Amino acid sequence: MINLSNVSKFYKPNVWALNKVSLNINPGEFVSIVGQSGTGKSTLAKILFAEEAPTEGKVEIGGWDITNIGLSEIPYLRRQIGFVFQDFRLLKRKNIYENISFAMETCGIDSEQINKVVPQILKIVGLQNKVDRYPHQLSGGEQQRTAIARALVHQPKLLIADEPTGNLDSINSREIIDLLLRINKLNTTIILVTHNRDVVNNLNKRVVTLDDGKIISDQKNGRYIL
Amino acid sequence: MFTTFLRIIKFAGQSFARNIWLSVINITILVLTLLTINFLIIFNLLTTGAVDIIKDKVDVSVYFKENVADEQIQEVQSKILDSLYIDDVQYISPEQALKDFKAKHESDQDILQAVTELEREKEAVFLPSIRIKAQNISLYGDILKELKESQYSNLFEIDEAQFRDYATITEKINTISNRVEMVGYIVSLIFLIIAFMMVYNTIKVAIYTHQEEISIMKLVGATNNFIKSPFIVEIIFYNIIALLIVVILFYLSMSFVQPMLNKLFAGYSVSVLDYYNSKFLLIFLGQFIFTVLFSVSTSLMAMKKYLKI
Repeated sequence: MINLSNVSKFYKPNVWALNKVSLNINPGEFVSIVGQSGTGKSTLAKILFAEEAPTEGKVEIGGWDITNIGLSEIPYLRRQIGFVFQDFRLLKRKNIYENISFAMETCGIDSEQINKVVPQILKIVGLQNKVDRYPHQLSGGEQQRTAIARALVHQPKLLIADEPTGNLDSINSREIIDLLLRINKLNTTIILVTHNRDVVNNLNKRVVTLDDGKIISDQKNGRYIL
Repeated sequence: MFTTFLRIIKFAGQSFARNIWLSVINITILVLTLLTINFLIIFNLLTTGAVDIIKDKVDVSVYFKENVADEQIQEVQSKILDSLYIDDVQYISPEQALKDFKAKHESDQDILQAVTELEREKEAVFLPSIRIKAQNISLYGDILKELKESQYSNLFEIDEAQFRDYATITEKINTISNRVEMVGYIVSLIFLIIAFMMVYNTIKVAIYTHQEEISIMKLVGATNNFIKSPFIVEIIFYNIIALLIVVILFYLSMSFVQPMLNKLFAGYSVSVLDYYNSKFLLIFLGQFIFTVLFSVSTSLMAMKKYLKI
């Protein structure tokens, strides 16, 4: 599914955010990328999402070499990858339904398909009864579930969650992780970027630990070791 | 494809409404630019019309001396006609000249009385003459020179006073019209520069106010063209509305101005309205294409700088 070989990322004047990282993730896996702040976790996520290009190395997703992906190809890559952020990034002037349908509208999906898919996704994330609510009328957990719903509109094979529980209390964090696990069971590969020790330790899934831009540990049923 | 097109229109409309005052200012500037361009067209049309009318009135008359025979007059007339500069030569007999003179002064009894006295005494009131029209007003100088240097110059006298008067008027009109045109071009240029700055800043503000949407669009895989298109369509909206306002303003103002122009140019066909009606598409479509190309290029420049996708 994902293959990184000797990937490095250099930022001026003299920071190597990633340093010769090689990683292989199989389809359907649930992988936590952990590490302290500034160890390159988010840079890795951004490279997978083609928001940043690696300075060195090779990045492949689903057999597609995206190392030097063209600007015009990026949208089509992103339609195959869902991305969730710590700050939710919802549109304040749109309600839940509109936030999700907006993602489909901008990709040219017809209204009939949107009206069919959005309710199904809202059901998966458990927000089918709150379609008319606006982001400010929702709890942090509900906002993150909306963001996850939006990330699922293109039925991606890969979902990258960058610190999805960073702004949530423990109960809401648990709900979000449970939701990610359920999505993973539907055969979607999940990459969870986090520095939340409890979340990682309770998952009992593969854990890749980064430190100073290098992989220092890759455990099948790992724990937060830092 | 059609769905995408409709959504681009929808997003452009939303942006238009969200920054309504900015939209109004943009449209106003475009209207002023188009009005200045149309003022130049109308002004050019009127000055050309006025100059043509004056040129039509300009001629040079050659008055033959008393003892010149008809055969000699015909010979001179045919020689003049051979000239490359001549458009028309008209022979005016003394009888015709008298008739024209009487018609011109029919309301002046003193003059008519004097003429009648001269006729009674069998004195020649008018001499035979020929009226010469040049192909172009600038050729009269050469014609006069040719006439003065010809072998027949002892047979006639040249009245060039009328030509001199009209030439002076034409020159003055041309000078004024050139100055007004220059001012018009400068004003147009100023409005174009303002329009450039307005459109450029509108796109900048629109990108800023749509930052969230743009980041979400990028996130979910909207194509770059889809992200850019609403900004372009919004600018095209401005141009369409500005053009409609200009067309309405033009026809409204012409309903007052054209009757005045008809009086001013009585007897001559100088109609701004007819000119615009006959070239409606060429004039307004041309202006629309020009302003759209101008503002879309400006938008693309602004997007290149501020829209990071």
